[in-house]
Amino acid sequence: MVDKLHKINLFLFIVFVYLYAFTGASNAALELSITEGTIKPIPIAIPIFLNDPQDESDIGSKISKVIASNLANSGLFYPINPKAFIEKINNIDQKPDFKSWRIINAEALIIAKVASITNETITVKYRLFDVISGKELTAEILNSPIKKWRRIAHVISDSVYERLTGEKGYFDTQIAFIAESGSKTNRIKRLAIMDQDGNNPRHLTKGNSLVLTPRFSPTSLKITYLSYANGVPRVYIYDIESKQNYEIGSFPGMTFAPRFSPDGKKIIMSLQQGVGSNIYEMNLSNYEKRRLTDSPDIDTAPSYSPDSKRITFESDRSGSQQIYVMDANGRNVKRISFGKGSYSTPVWSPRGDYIAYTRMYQGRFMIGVMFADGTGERIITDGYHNEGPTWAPNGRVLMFFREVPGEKGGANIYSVDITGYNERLIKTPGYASDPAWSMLMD
Amino acid sequence: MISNPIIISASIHILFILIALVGLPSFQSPGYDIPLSMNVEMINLNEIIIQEVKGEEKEIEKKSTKKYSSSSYQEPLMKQENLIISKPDKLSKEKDAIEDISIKKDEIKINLPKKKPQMLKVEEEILTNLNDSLEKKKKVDKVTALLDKFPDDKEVNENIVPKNEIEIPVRNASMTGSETRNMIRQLSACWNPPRGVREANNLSVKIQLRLNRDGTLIDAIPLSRAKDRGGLKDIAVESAIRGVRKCAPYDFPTEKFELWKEMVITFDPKNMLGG
Repeated sequence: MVDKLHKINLFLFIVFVYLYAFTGASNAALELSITEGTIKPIPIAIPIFLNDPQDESDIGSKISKVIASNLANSGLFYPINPKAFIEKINNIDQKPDFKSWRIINAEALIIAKVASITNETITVKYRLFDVISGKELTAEILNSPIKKWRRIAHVISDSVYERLTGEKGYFDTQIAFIAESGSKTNRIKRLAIMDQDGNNPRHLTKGNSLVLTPRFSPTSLKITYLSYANGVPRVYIYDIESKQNYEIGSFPGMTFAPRFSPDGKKIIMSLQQGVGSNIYEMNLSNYEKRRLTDSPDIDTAPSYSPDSKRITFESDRSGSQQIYVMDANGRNVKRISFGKGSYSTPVWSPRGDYIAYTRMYQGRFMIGVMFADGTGERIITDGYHNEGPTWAPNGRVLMFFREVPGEKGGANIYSVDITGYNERLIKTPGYASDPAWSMLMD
Repeated sequence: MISNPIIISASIHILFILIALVGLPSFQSPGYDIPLSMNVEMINLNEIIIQEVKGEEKEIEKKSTKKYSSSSYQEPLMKQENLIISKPDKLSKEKDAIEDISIKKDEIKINLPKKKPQMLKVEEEILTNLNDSLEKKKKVDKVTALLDKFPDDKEVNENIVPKNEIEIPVRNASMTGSETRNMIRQLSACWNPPRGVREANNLSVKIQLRLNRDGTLIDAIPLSRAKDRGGLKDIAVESAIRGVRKCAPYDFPTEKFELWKEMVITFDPKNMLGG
């Protein structure tokens, strides 16, 4: 009898537990984990910016075209052909008809207008929408001198890029480079500068003397470069705003391969000593110099990590050119390149993750990237002659120059994503080499 | 001797039955019982605005006062500049949605004497007001701050879902392996994590989906909100929501609708580094 009661109790207990479990389970939401997506450029609609009715210069159309070109060139966006647009935007203060933009598969939409334009200034208002969610993501008013209208386009491109990709943009930037003209045997090389997309190119030096390796300051409109102005190769600084040009320091031998520190207050470079060269750092406020390497070999092409704590450079101390990393005080030197061939021109990414370099192997020149500990080496482009990588301020795009062989061959500048995709020629008036990317303007 | 165990047993039985009858309902999440009628509320708001434009101010005011009588908002004389700031962000954070709506109503009322056509004004409320922020202009030579933004209706709707909805206990239900794989395939087809999101470490986001039997989406609610608007977390959430919205309707097994009518999806891009 007692046993029977125990059984009944047990039975009821089990029923109770089941009831509890069942009612609990009925509320549970199914949980799934998605770890792989589909990577493709974001389709974006950029209707022509509305013009001020008083203005006949059609500048709204020009600005929208520059933005479309910037975003397309990044490889992360796909501007939709305006012929496909269904809705005609007449008023940027009215909510767009998102359905009509979803029909043409747009995921983002920029609407804008030239709010005012005078002989001197231009004001543009724009809004960026997430078409799928029907949500405004950004709205801004921009004001600029009329001559700099392209910068408005670049600033909008940067905002859109950042808001949709989560990475800083790089469109409102400048490229310093060496503009080349004349025959291959009698080439004239001049220091020059242009917008990131190749527009507004202008010369900074006259071409009387050979100039090489320009490098932008990460904090100001200054360029450091190598010039043979006094017959001996020396490091100079060119101030773009004041148009002043000056030699830095007085060294007994030739100085070369200069580069600014991340705070713009120091220059790091090579100084010839005997048959070799060592790396020196110079404080620009008091011109104090400090030797960082001490070897009979050629140590050159130094570049700081963005936190200024380490320096990467090339050296032939092992018998061939290889990449090394050391602490900013010159200690703890470690070789990081071990692939076949030789390695040169290491440049630390502004994000700190990668070092870009030129690699030579069996007569071919490649541009590659690797982590600062030498792992994760990846070749980005390979060919007859690729050289001199420079980083976009967001550390996700590189520029470099490529020489074409032959009597009439010359150098051109290309940009490429660090994944190796989306290689594009930057159009320059003539041949161009040794690009140096600026920071974002402000 | 025997009667004692019988009494004890009987009383335990009665106790169990009582617990089963009275206690069990309390184990259910009350979240389901609250009707989600906020869509309708938003539509009403628009109607009210339109009517106001038509000049039926007083009547509408009465109506709306009745409807949203819980309002205790007492700052009708805010400066125009402050008006714009209003409160999309605050609105989305408020717990009491009804009170929020009443704030919005009051703002609209204050806007009435403005010179611009009211319909236009209504649209501006949804968008960032670019007109009254001239001092916040971004000069291209000297870049300055962003302007305040308004969320759209959908975003507001997402935020006023009762909080306990979001805290539903999550367990895996009995979908077969191939069914689950098929669902994952469909859900990942439109997810295009932006580059910054892909390359950030462990930037996974959880989105709660509610679906109709025909696979159409009722709503997609982020379970983790970003602190900074427009920050990387925000961008991760937006791209996940954009993905699930874009690929709907879904073709999931209808006989198991009860299992997938509500789902929590984790979007984790860590395996897509550098892609």
